[in-house]
Amino acid sequence: MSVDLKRFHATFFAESYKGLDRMEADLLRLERDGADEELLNSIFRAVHSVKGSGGSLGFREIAEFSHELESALDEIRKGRSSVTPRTSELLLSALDCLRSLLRDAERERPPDEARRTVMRDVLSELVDEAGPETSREAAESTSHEPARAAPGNRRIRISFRPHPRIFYSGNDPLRLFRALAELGEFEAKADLDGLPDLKHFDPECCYLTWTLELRTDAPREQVLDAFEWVKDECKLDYAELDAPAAPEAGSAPLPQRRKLDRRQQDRRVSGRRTADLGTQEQFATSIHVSTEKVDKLVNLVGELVINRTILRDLAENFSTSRLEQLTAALALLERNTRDLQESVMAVRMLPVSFVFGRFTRLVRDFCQSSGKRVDLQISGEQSELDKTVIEKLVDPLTHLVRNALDHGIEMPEVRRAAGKPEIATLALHAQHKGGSIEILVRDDGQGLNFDKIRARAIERELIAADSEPDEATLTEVIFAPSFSTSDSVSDLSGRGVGLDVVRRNLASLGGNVEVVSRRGEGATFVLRLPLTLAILDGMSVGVGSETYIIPLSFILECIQPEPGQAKSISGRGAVFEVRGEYVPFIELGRLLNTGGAAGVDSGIVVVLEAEGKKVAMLVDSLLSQDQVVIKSLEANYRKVRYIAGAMIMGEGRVVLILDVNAVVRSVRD
Amino acid sequence: MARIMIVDDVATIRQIVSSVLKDVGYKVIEAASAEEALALAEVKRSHLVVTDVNMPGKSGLDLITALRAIKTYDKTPIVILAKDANDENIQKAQGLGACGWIAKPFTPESLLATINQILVDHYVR
Repeated sequence: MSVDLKRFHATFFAESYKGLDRMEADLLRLERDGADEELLNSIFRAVHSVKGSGGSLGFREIAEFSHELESALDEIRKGRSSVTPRTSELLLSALDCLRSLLRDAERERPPDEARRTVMRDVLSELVDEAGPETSREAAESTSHEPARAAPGNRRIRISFRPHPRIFYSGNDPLRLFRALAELGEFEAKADLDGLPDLKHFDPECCYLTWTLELRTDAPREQVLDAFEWVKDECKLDYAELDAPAAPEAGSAPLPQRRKLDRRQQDRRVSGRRTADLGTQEQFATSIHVSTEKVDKLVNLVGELVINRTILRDLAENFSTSRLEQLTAALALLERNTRDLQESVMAVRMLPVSFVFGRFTRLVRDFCQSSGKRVDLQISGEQSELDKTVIEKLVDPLTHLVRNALDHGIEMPEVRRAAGKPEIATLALHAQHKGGSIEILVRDDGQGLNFDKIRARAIERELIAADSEPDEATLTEVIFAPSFSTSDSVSDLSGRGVGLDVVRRNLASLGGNVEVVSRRGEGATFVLRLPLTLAILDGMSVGVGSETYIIPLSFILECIQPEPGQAKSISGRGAVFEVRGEYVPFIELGRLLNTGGAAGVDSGIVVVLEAEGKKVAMLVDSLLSQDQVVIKSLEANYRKVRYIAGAMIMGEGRVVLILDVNAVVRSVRD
Repeated sequence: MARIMIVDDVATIRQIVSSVLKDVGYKVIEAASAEEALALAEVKRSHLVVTDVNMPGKSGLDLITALRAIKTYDKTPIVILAKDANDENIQKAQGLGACGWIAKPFTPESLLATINQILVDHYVR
């Protein structure tokens, strides 16, 4: 039988990349927090899955590499070896190798030689580190030259006598011969003596035996590997014939394991890795959708079917007296299609963590190679954005993070001398704000160096030599095409293709980028993206006859107030006491002129936090908590104070989303 | 035609097994975890179960034990997906009542051969 395995490739690659991403996160945790059983199991499983499915699909190199990696991991998992910083370093490199193997397989091209060398080095050292006992054997079987068709210098003769029932176990000698032929010059001679006459011939039995001759450089183990599947079901005689002429010096088989000077090896591994990071942009063309979202779609389609039935019935037995029913059915249809449209959009929503996640590794590798010490803080990564927006965010964000690492953050000595903590902080934060999503890249490094920018700008003739531009103008200059103040081109940035790309990419999404910089205290890049497609968790609250949505991320707590908890301060508004702390107090009904709860006694107080400030806000009631697909109010109507956007409720009603930042600001001003 | 349940957390493996079996006419139900398999087993009978061993949550070995406690599955042949012929889980699984194993990676041919053989052994002979 022949089965076209190609149809499983898409699933395999999508699943494997995802598994490796998770494995990367696990490895980074392993490095940070040390080994724990569940973590090791999860890492092991990731490799095991790639091996199992990759092997079944015939990706030999992937299967072999992951098999060796799996063995090394097994040693660690069984506690026979511990996780040293070097081991986790190697495991991360191995992960990179596996990833590039997958990528090569996906593009149907063979891995290049340089990478093979790296792979072999990584594996052999890993095996050394992981388990001294098993290392020799495993290293030997991994460090062979990979299969190739060029004839080798050793002549091997194998007599192969399979068991008559070999076909029953799904084995096929022809396949085996094909594998051997890949090792060198191959010849098979069949011996027909065992064939019975036709009367006794059983087509499901194998009556043939073979004499196989092979000229190859592959070591014995590798040749015998080909028989791995059948060795219990055949008789094998392996003999090496005399090699013809002695190979001339220089073409002797490579030593089994080349132990590189460790520094050299380090550089090779990490150098390749940074190069790799740049090409890591493959975003799976498939997305993982929660069953909840799918269920909703199915429900909506069900509704549509009901709707169609109603309409068909109306069409078949129509009379003017049923006009009202028709109008109602059409309204229902309109609502259903709109819901369906929104649900389909929601399927495309991905959390920002998809982009943020990859920086953990980038920062870690950067610290290792540069000697800088950076603590990466990630927050708000659960905010969801449309898949296309997320994809286009990768490049700009990568540029900004690299810039901050390279130019912003100083070496530990410099930081210490400046009286700053040696470990720098790089913060990535995502938040919904005033009808858009904001992504902050904040470092506490040296800030923009305006003197240097000015000098470089004059040199590049971007500004006149005698001008004295203010900081705002100079800030603008750094977004000019090919502008860079870096003296040397580093691995990460300094190629001067940074900020103009960032700005262009964001502009193509209808967003913008701004910088706030303080010399010596760091810089913050603020990326603003339109929220039209964004989705958030919101709490709907009732005030008077109106309903508003408060984004859940701003809500600290909801309190049933007691008499006396709110106190008014003459001329300066009111405060609300939350466990001994006094927080500015506002009534939403009054702020928006909607009426509603007049006193603290009849409502609920929602404590909000935005921009580091807290506010206690009185509403009438808490209604429900929903996932909200935000519609821009500005695009459809006009900008309204205190309102960030709108959403359409299931029954077609428009509900406004509160701009908590503006509300909090109103109290401060 | 016989109905076969495939249990594996790896979607690729599930897909391969399921289409290879469906191609030759078997009915297949898929489960992504031992837990899901048990829930399915409560409502659907199968003639054979193929399960992975190393899965998040309950393992394949746990699944064998749990399936044996379900009345409709107390004699159903169970095949595990093993690492290789030396996988220690093969012994464990046999001890728990599994009746065969398939090494990963497998070829569609070897998968079918093993499954056919076990079904024949169990239901025909």
